[in-house]
Amino acid sequence: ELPPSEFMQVADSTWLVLSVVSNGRAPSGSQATGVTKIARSVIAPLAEHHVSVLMLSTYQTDFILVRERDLPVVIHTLAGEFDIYKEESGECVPVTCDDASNGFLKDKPATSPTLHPVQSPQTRFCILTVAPDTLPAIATMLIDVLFYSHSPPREAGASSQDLDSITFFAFSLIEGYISIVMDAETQKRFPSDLLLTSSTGELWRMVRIGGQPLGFDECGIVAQIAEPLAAADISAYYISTFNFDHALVPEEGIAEVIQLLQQRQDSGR
Amino acid sequence: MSGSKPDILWAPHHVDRFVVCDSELSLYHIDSAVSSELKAGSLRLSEETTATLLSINSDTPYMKCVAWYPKYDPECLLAVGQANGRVVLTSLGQDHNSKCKDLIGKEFVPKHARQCNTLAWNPLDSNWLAAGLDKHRADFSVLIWDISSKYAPETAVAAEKVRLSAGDPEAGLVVTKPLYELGQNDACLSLCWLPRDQKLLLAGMHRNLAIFDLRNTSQKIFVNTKAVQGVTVDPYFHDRVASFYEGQVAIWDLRKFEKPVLTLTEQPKPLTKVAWCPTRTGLLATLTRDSNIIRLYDMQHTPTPIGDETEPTIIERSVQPCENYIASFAWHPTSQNRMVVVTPNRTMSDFTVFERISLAWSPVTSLMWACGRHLYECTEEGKANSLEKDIATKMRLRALSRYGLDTEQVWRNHLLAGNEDPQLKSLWYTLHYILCLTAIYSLNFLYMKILMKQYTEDMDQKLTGNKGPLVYAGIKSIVKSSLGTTENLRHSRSGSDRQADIIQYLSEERSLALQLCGWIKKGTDLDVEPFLNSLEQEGDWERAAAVALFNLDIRRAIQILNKGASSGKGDLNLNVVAMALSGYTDEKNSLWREMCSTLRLQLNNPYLCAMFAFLTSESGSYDGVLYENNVAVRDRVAFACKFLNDAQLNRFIEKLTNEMKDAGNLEGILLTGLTKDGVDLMESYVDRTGDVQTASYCMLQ
Repeated sequence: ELPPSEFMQVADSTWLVLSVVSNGRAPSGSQATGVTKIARSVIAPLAEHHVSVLMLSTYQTDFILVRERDLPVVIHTLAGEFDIYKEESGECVPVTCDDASNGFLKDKPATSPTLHPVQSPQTRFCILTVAPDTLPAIATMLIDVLFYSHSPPREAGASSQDLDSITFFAFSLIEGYISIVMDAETQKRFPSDLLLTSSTGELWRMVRIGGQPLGFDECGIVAQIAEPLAAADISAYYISTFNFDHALVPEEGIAEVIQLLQQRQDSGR
Repeated sequence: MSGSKPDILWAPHHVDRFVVCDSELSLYHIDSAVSSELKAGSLRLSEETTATLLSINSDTPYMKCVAWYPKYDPECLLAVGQANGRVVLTSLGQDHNSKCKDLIGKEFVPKHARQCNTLAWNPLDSNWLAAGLDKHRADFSVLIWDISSKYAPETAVAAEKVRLSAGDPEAGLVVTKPLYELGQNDACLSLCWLPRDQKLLLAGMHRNLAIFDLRNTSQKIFVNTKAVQGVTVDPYFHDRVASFYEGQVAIWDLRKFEKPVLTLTEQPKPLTKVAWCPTRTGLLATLTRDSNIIRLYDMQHTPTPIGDETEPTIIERSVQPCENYIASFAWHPTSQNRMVVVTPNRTMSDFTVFERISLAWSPVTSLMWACGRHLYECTEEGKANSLEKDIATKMRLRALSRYGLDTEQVWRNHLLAGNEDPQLKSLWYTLHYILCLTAIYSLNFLYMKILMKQYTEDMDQKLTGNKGPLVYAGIKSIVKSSLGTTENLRHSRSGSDRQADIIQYLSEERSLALQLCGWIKKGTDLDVEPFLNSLEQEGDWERAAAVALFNLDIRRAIQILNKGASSGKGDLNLNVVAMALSGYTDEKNSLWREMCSTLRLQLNNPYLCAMFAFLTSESGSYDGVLYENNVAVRDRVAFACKFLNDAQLNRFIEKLTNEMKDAGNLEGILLTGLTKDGVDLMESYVDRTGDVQTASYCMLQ
């Protein structure tokens, strides 16, 4: 347990992790992966039921986080399409959904969801993993990048909407698997044979959602990005952080994505 | 296989080669070395074997797993799975003309780099290599590569090919498209091809064991379990699979795949390797981390469980191949129960697991013992000396020859027993005579009864009692009952020059006794001639002569002795004895008498001794004859019946009976008959020899 400190802000609720496990059925025709794949089946229904989600995509898999108090709604919503299992001490136990709907929030009157502005810096990112036993070899480098990298000083008065680069670095260690997102420049500082990435060496471009810190109560944020992407069949990584949400799309597809989001924005206004 | 611990693999087709893999591949050749000197560069593995380093391959520093090419290849082609998910084919040989030259250096690259956990080469189709990788959100974790694919990469991928091969100008083809891709979104921890079908692959995925059927990739059979590491198929039972998780091993039957058939006892530390023995059925070896013992589980003798509750029994053993901690081990593919173990600092040792020995005794005196595949039979050696043979062996042989089962001619049984034991001979003859006489007397009595029926009952009482039961009672009782009815006869020896008085006693009972002794046949005829003839036929000349003499017929005795001397196997000395006999004189103080009485003791044959004792002794005191122990009891008893008076007879019989009883001498049955005394006699016989067979048959009569 981290000791409370004035430097740390902690969100107020506990969040539970869900992940979609493939059951071996033949993959659908769509080649898209990540949030795009589950956009229609998971993200959209949850948004309709006013469940706020956070997403974390890693090299290995994608995780959806929901608030603990929203769990019954989640199960109720997803039970139709999915078999839901709870992991208890390593074993998967099926969870049955009862039809009780006590305590569900009444459907709020349909409000049009807030459209959040998006930004897309020019930085190219890569998504990597590292073999756990080689972690010590890059540890010092990692700590340097995590804690001692200096973001370029903001010019006074410059509009934050036109930032050309966003420094972003994500490191996650989940069940022994490591996943790192870093930009291509930083990648050069590490020894190349220790960082494992896709064989095509593909690079990603980021779309940052939100002009100001998004908070945790609003729902539908992921949905408003995921739906256009799903329609265009573009895979995406989606990482929710404390302030903003970030979606990573393949480099070749960034133009199309920006166009789609622009259209949506225009039509929403 | 973690980075620092070495692993061992035996070459599947080279019987004497194995490879040790940690950061580099080292090929060793194992040799049997009898001499204690080591050749340069050899490592001693055990007392009989050494290993020589043949070659080292350090081309693949990030190796995570290794698999050997299943077909015979002089170059030791290996597939190496690396930390970045690439599978490289490499070899340990130097021959540039090998058939597999174009395979060496081939790389199989997955779309997204991640650790390759396991490799399995299809044993039936050596072109198929299965690789199990860690999970990726957009990629499959089980990839089946066709190593012979010369698949030209698509143009879209051409760019990356340039990038990849830039650093490796000599690299062969890089293959990026696998034959099959299975297992999405789940890490694969272990793989094993199922031997019963070329296209079945058993994979230990992160949370379940799955059987992939490559004929229909959309289907898979899976079972949720935690035991997903180290799947291996038993080479002898293709439906039996072992897998482990942490410290627990689970044994599965693929025909009933829902839950494991058996889980072995949990070890406190996690396991590192589990392997079936390829040379012996049902033996599973497990190794835990940081331990110097290998646990062996013997499943060969498990009975089929009855019902659902009973678990099959497993015999657990531990062996300690060497003192240090063991990093890995490998079974030898052909040599029974042999394995090579390697320690973390790369010392190796060759170790053979000694099988348990089981012994079995046969009911006859031979022993069988079994150890592994060897079976030894040990039988008793040595000459069969019938006197020293164990009574159990004797009884078995007699039973085989149907001893005791001849109830008609009862005396034949001693022949069936091998005709070697004089006591048995006497016993069965006695029984024979008893039975014969009983039959006769019973018949007579019955006949008489029928005849006398018309007379009154008091006449019945005057009939002499049925002698039948008396016969059973033995001579002792016969003699007792004859007190007071003896007739004395003075008789002279026929054929002698002078008259001499020898007292002979006669009575019905005595003649009955003589019949029992076999000297005379049934009836009141006292003719010994038939008995003498039978003895002559057997070649028992001395006994015949003695019997003739005891019947006071010297001429007959001399005749017998002469016959004996001139017969084929006769002793020529018998003629001399005959000559000595013929000099018989009645005078008490003659030289003949003196000489004979002293010199007779030097004669070997007891009957000759007895003869001369009879001739030289005072009338009435025949101890020389009576106590000649080597003369058959029946002859002595018959002699006593003829020449001893009642009191002496009784005493003698009494004494002899007790002697017989103490010694357990079966010849005494004659005296005791089949009465309680006879039972005592039998008892002491059985105590002495343990021959319960004879006793039981005898009592049955």
